[in-house]
Amino acid sequence: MIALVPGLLPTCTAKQPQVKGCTSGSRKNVGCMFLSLRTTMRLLTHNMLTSHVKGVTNGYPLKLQAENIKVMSVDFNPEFVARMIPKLEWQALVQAAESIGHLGDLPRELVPEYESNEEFLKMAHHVLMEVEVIEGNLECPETGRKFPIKNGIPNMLLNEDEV
Amino acid sequence: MASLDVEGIGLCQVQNEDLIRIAATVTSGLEQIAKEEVEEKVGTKVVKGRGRIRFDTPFKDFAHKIQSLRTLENLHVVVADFEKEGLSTDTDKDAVLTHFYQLAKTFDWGPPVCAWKTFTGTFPHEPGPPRKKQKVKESFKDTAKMLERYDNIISRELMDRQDNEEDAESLVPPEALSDSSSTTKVAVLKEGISETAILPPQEDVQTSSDVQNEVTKVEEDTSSPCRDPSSDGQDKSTSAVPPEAENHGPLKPKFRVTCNRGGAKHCFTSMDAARYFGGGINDDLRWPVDLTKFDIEVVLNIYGDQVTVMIALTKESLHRRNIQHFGPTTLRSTIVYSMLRIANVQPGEVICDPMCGSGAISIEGGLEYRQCLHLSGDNHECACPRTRANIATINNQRRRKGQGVLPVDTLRWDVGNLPLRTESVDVFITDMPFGKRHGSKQGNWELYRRTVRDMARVCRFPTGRAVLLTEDKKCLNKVLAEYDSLWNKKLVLFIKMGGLDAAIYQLKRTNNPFPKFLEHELLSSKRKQKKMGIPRSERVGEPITEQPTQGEPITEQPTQGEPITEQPTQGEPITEQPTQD
Repeated sequence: MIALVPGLLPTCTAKQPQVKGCTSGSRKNVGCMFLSLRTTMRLLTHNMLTSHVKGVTNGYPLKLQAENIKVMSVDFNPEFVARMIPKLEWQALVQAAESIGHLGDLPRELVPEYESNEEFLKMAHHVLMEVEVIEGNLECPETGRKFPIKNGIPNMLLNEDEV
Repeated sequence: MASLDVEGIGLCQVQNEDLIRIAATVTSGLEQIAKEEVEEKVGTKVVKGRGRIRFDTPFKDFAHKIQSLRTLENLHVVVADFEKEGLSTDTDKDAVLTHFYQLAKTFDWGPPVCAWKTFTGTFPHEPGPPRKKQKVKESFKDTAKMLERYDNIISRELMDRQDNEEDAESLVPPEALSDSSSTTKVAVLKEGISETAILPPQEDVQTSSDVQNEVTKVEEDTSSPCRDPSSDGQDKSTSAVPPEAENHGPLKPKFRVTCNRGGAKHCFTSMDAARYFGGGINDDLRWPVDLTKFDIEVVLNIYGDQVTVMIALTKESLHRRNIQHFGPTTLRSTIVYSMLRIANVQPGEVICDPMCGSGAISIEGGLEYRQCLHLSGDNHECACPRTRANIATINNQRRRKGQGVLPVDTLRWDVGNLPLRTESVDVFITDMPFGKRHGSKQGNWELYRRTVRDMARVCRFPTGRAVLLTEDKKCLNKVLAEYDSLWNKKLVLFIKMGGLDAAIYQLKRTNNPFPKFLEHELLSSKRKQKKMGIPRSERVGEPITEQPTQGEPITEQPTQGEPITEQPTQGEPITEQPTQD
């Protein structure tokens, strides 16, 4: 459950105290407050993304530069995490988590028999599902082309001369 | 079991074992999928019709069972189902209409009305978003404006919720509480309906907040589908207390009749039949008529000689269950669920909708297949914010119920050049532009070709699958023929969507790896490659390896010895057409 609802109503009716990770301005405050109600880009999704600029041979993984990160608690679903790990590039995940400073105690190498290791799955769950990038950039490792992330939506569209 | 005192019928009871017959409408062409789902989840035999199915289920817990079905659109409980000989050929209009007038007397209304009360008590109607046409482009062009509007909605909802919590722990939807006049109306109605509420004499001089409390209590009372015998005993005792209970007599529902007629040239119109049949109910059962604010909608279906009388359980089609912010071409949730079933999604798979629009596919997928990761994307500037607003609405609702968030992420990308790792997605499910309301038939050629090609790259082979919905079948067939070395067509289901003949294609990725030279190749059609002088062996659509499973061009087969009939028939599409009777 999201720790958003308690104390929310006073903020939207009367005063607007600073919410963590918010920029100034009353409108933005309200916006940020509800941002946790929205989906943002998870590191799980980042793991699937690659650069697709024309001529790039090794566009994976994209470098992650985050300006605004939100950590929110999501229900832990061990089965889901265990099923997702084989679909991931573990090194890319570690790299991405490290670049935004949310690696925590996550091991750099995939633990054998992780399916039954609940402690490991919880750490993986935190990195995969709970750390979300709201504002920032994805950078192609080869060409340096930046893909902006705005409001949690990465814009991966290329200009006509890049395809 | 349930018992109910209804005006004009008296006390009627339904035992848990009693069978009630449910009739439901389904998208034409998807009856088989619906049949499989019902047989799997309810465990009863299903009879298919055209665009509808029907099945019998025991009364016990039926409301929860049929509410969990995702392919059904409108639910009805059948009152009577019979054949009247000569109805389609009869020319004596007065006689036929008199017959309809007298019909109401002959039915046993008790069990269906009990079923209706149980269902609507358990799942009260929550009106969806208004149907008026939005100026989509203006309202969604500016993301900030859209988000602001969305924030306002949430804050209003949350404030309403706080009010409710102060009053009572409430199950009433916020709309009912915000409008005090409608609340009183609801309260009056519920008092009439409820036979359990024993209200004190000073009940009439209550403040509005107390009335609200009463509504919630009554709702809680009626929300239990099967009441225990002790409360039934109380029911009888209440009816024995005349002075106070006069206000709370038998249930007197307001009703309307809707008639659908077809199949033959009858001597009467559907409006005639509805008028006479409704008049009969009104005179016989003394239910008041209300065409707009009705409690019960009686549906009279006449098809040839076949007459079906039903009570509607849902006021609005269930396909509008997920989406709040509709786009110009938003797909029905029921069709989405059917597509997910066709794709045979397994837990732990990565599912992608590369042309998400308003996100209907990913949302339904996220709700029903929680063990999968759902990626959605679109290239249109309005699509991603709209998808996110829809996801946020659902997440918000789920959070209130203490359920987890949807495993859905949204990106903005180009479908012909997906920024996804090669072989990272298990299932592609998408609703392609038909070229009518969105895009153009001419533009589809290039779009479909690029889509099919890049999906083949991103899709895991050989387990990957794709389920595509389109109306431009000619284009997709040609494109799939071009890429037959990458995709096998398994099944084509023809469906009717709002008057359009669309088709759902079930594709399976073949064993061939994605050819390297195609990775950044935009000109991929055979004709263009021919122009460019690419040798035939390297052309797209030609098998890369000599696999026996491929539908190879017959001309290239060695003619002697090998009969063509021995070729496995994987390349052959299995075609199912809706029955035209």
